[in-house]
Amino acid sequence: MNANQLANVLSKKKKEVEDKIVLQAHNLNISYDNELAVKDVSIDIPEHSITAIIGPSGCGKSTLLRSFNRMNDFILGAGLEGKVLYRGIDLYGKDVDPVEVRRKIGMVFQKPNPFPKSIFDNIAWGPLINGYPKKGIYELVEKSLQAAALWGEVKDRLKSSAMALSGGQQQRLCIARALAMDPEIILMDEPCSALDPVSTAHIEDLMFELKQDYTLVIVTHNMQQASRVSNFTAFFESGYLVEFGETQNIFTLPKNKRTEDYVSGRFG
Amino acid sequence: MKNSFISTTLDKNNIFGQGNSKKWREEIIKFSLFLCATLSVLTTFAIVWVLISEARIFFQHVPAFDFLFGTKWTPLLEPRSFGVVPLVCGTLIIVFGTSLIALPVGLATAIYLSEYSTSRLRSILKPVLEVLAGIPTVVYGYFALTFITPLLRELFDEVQIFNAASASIVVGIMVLPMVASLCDDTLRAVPVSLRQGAYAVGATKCEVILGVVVPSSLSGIMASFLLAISRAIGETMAVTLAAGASPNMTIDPFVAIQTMTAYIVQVSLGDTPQGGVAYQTIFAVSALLFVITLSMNIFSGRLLKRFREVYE
Amino acid sequence: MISRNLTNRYVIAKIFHGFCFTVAWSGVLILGVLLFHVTQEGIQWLDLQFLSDFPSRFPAKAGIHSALIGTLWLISLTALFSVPIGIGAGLYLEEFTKKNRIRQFVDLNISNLAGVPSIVYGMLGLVIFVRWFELNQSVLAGSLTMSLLILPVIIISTREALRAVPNTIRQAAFALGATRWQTIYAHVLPAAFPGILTGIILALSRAIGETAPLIMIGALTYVAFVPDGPMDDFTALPIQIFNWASRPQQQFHELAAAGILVLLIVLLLMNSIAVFIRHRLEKKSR
Repeated sequence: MNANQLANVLSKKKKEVEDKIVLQAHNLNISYDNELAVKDVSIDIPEHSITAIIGPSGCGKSTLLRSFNRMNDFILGAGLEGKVLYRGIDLYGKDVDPVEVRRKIGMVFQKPNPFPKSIFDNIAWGPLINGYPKKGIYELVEKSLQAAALWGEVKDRLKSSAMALSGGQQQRLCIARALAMDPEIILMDEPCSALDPVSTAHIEDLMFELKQDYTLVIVTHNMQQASRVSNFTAFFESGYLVEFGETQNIFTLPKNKRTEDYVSGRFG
Repeated sequence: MKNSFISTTLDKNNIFGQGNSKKWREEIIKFSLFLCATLSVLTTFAIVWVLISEARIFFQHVPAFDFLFGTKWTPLLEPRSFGVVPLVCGTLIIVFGTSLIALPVGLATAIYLSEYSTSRLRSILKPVLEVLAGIPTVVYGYFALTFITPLLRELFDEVQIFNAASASIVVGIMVLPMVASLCDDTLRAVPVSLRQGAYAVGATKCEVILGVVVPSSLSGIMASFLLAISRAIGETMAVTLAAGASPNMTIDPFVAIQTMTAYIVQVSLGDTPQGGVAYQTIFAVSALLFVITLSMNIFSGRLLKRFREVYE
Repeated sequence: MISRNLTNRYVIAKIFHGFCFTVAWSGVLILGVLLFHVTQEGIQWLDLQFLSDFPSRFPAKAGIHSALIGTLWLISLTALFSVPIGIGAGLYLEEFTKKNRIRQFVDLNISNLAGVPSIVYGMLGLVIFVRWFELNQSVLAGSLTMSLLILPVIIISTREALRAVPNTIRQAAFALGATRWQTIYAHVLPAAFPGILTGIILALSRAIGETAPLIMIGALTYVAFVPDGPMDDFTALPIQIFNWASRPQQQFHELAAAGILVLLIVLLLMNSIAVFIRHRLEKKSR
């Protein structure tokens, strides 16, 4: 195909991607006790993809992530200006219930935090309190564990304590727990930073599978992980979104010099 | 894997509905818990209101100056006199005796616990202290009357059956665990780096403790002392049983005295007619007691806060 | 010269160590002496007859039955009032409020209330429950007064137990779309429960041993019957002990010692049950 045809195909693909933006931030400013942590950020997260947010530590990545499911609400002194839109709906609007937001946008934390209960109860609790029929709960737990690639390892000990699992298993349990709620978007805050390389590889494989049915937004300080796993990458520095684009471009042809410096390891 | 069980409230046309009944239930629970919390605040206001309104009846008959500074306390016998100083003296002598025992012993125990003892020994000593703290005060009163007083009478001739010393000793024992526990917490909060700095200039353990650790915990230690004294001021049963019912302005620890708290008990057990001035004295004395202990508690809290600010 | 100075200093250090050691363990000694003395004086009177007889002017016939039952009544009612309200208040203050000026004021309030002498609570109970509510000298008035007394203790220990639950558990639950109460009920409370239970037992142990407030509200010191209902007059173990100890006769002193043994056994039982329950709970969550 010639250059024109290629350009057409590329722009059509771009439009396709643009049509399926599921989460957006518009001129977002987030502050803690009047100190800005996220500065005038606008970003579009496309559906059924993995978007990685990278940058040096303390640059506001986690703060931005937490604003997507209103977990910042729990932090005293946190202030937010601007908009966060989910399918066009302002998540911080007056009649939006944050509890409902979190049912649609799930989160996996940096350090695995299973409940001190059995593996089964960890996964079943969320759906049950949201009215999931008791009859189907066993199936739901099984499906969630399978989707998190943990079923084979734990199917014989569902009633044993989740605290007895290894770190990697616990994190996959937390992913299964989030999946059981049937969210549309899954936010992951450095999900592998507390894990060993083998568990990390497992979870990265899992991410690939998940993006078919879900949209993932991942904060990571591991650039190799970002380049391995994600479709889109956003580079943050000191609270600003410096550059956003397809992962390939960010890592091989960055437009911004700061981005280039960071991904080539000159700082951070 | 996709289930659609949440679609009913969160489907594409009505993504963020409100689970109404759930929210309502949450609000009711929150409100009932709120009521529980307000009850505790109400209690303070209730205490203040009760004391003020009842003491006012007393102060309509007796000027506050006479009450606070008069040195004769004979409200139940003619000629009536309402100077509270003897009662305050009685309380003070108990406090003095208690402090003499509980403060140094408590601090030394805390130093031992935090600086010298192993965790095994600590696991024996700490529960023992907790048991001592948990023994009802009436038991201590009994112990003072039937063991300490006879013991003192054997050692010294001039000890009366009811005396301040014996009560002070048991109140000291009673309060000791509180001082030890608080000082222990305070001493342990001093950073290891501070101690290591002192050792590094060639100090012995004793010098490190007395020269560096204790001085850095001073406000916490003072706070514990104040709390202990406040507790000694409010102590009732031990002094009622062992210290006597004779309001006396004396510094002799071997004679009978009467504390503010013991006086209140005496009137409650007797048949003084309610509503009369003599009876209302208990509210005036209570009010004084409340003011004193409250001030000490507030002051002690401030000291503790100051200590925490330095180390956190 | 330097080494001589050092020798002196080491000697001082050793003496100091010895001093602290002796002083600390003297606490154990004192406890031992106290328990020995009480047992020595009272064990002779401790038999089934003592537990089932009512007090009498004749030491040989005196028993602690009315006081024992009265104490059981008192503790049950006190627990009924103070435990739910105390836990509820602790929950509200720790989980549902932010750290602002109002909460600081409430915190100050509660810690002050914990330090108010028990006799002042007796005063409160006298005016409000006995007179105003017209409950007279009933078990109900006594238990309401006691509840107010131990409420701050329960609140403080509940809050400390809640604070010890790691925040990551709450975050995980919130991230699943749970409300505050759902999170508390399903995760925070179960995790904090052993600590809360310990606090409750400590508070109730204190309530069992308190005498002054009961004297203030007029719990009678000579009671030869057991309460049939919450509105009945009553007496309690500490009051009976106080009564006997106040008498000059040696035999009544010995009876007081026997009463103390009963009281200490009740306290020991309560605390043992608490330790047992705590062990079971902690084993289950492992």
